Amino acid sequence: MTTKGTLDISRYSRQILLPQFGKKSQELLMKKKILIVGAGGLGCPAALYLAGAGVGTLGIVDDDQVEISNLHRQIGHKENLAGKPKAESLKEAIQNLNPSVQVQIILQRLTQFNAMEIIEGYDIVLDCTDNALTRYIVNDACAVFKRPLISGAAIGMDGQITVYCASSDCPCYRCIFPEPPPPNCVGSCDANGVLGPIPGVIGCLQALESIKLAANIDDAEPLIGRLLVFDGLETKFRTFQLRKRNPNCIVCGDSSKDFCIAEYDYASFLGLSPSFSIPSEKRLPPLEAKAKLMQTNGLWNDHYFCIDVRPSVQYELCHIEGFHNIPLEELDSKCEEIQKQVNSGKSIFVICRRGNASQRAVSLLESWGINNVYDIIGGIEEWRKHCDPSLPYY
Amino acid sequence: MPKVELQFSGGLESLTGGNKVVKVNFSGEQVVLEKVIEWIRTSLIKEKHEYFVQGEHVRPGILVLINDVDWELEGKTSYVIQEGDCITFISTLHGG
Repeated sequence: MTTKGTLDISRYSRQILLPQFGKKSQELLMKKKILIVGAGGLGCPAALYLAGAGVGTLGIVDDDQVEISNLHRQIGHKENLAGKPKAESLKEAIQNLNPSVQVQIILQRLTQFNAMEIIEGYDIVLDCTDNALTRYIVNDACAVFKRPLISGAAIGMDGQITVYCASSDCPCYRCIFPEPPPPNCVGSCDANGVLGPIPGVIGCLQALESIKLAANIDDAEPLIGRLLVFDGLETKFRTFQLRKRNPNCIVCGDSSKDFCIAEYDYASFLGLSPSFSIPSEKRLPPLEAKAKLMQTNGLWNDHYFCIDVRPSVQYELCHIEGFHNIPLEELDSKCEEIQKQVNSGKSIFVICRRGNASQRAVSLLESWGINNVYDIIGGIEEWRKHCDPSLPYY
Repeated sequence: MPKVELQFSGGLESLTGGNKVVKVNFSGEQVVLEKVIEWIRTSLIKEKHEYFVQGEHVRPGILVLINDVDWELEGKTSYVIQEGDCITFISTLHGG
């Protein structure tokens, strides 16, 4: 143990021994405040390496709770903390690793209304988020304050990382992506899957880039103006040269002074429509649906044709017996088959994972003139809670 | 007859039957990148075109790189393809 403020030589000796790092970088690092937005697959490894290296203050923003399905990749959390806020869980891991690091947790989602206040107090920001909306908000706040933004992303077997807003000609996220992707082209680890070490690799690289910037390491070349792409399937790293800062960019351009995050219409920009919903008479809670589908003798009632519109990978993971898998995007091509079932006098029940896609499916079937079609509220997740706890949560 | 290598990454390979690399010869002298994109859209990609283009343009969220350099620095769609060029299409990721 050392007294506060003095350099713990033995703890940091292996990095201080590096000629490019040395005592001066260690002392710099211990004065820096770094904010991690998202305590998930990227945020966990990033936070742990930054804590180990001895960053002065780490901030963690996250409004989510630890779930068992997170643990294969979000290695800062522990099974016995399932249900606890991720930021608290990660704080505990950081303090177990290096109690000299100050940890500030913010148990909120970063929004356009709190982003400025949260980000202003930090020297460097890590984008470890999992959605396009928060990525634009983090970027916009960093662009306004000119805070270097270490942006990582991972899904499936692929990872990407670059540094934004780090110098006068360094682009921001909006310079590269002035228009957002269509919502249906944005994948997530929850829906598409991810192998644990993929965000692990990218999170570690985010920690490395942060240390290079925060500790002013000699001869270091941070990933400014370059995008690193990691192909985990073929184990290949490649870097690409990005364009420079766009002088006409609305957040970091030469005349961007009037940009105001709190007033910007993010929902319209991203094309986020309010969540889709169909009339309540077309929707049944799982227990009511089950009562119709199952006869009192426990046998399946063949007056109904049941469709599970989840992707086939999820259907294989678990499904309710008697439900036929027709993924939402294949409904069109199965129109005839479904019509045949309807013509034979059957009503249709539709289920999905959480109850959104199934409503879209009901609406689509109605547009073909099918009237006896019903949505099961809350999808497989609610069915599991009310009708069949043996279904796995995924 | 420039021969070019097309690369697809960040999930775009699912549009090309899982092929991350496609090699192709283009006929003609002055083949611009716009023609290459049109060929990908009409001849290479068989379904879910909306994941690659909006109308005739590469959809937002896809980075296009010419020999590892952002196409913004190389003239975008009017770039004239050279023998041996490598054109990379990367879909930006959002997961974390």
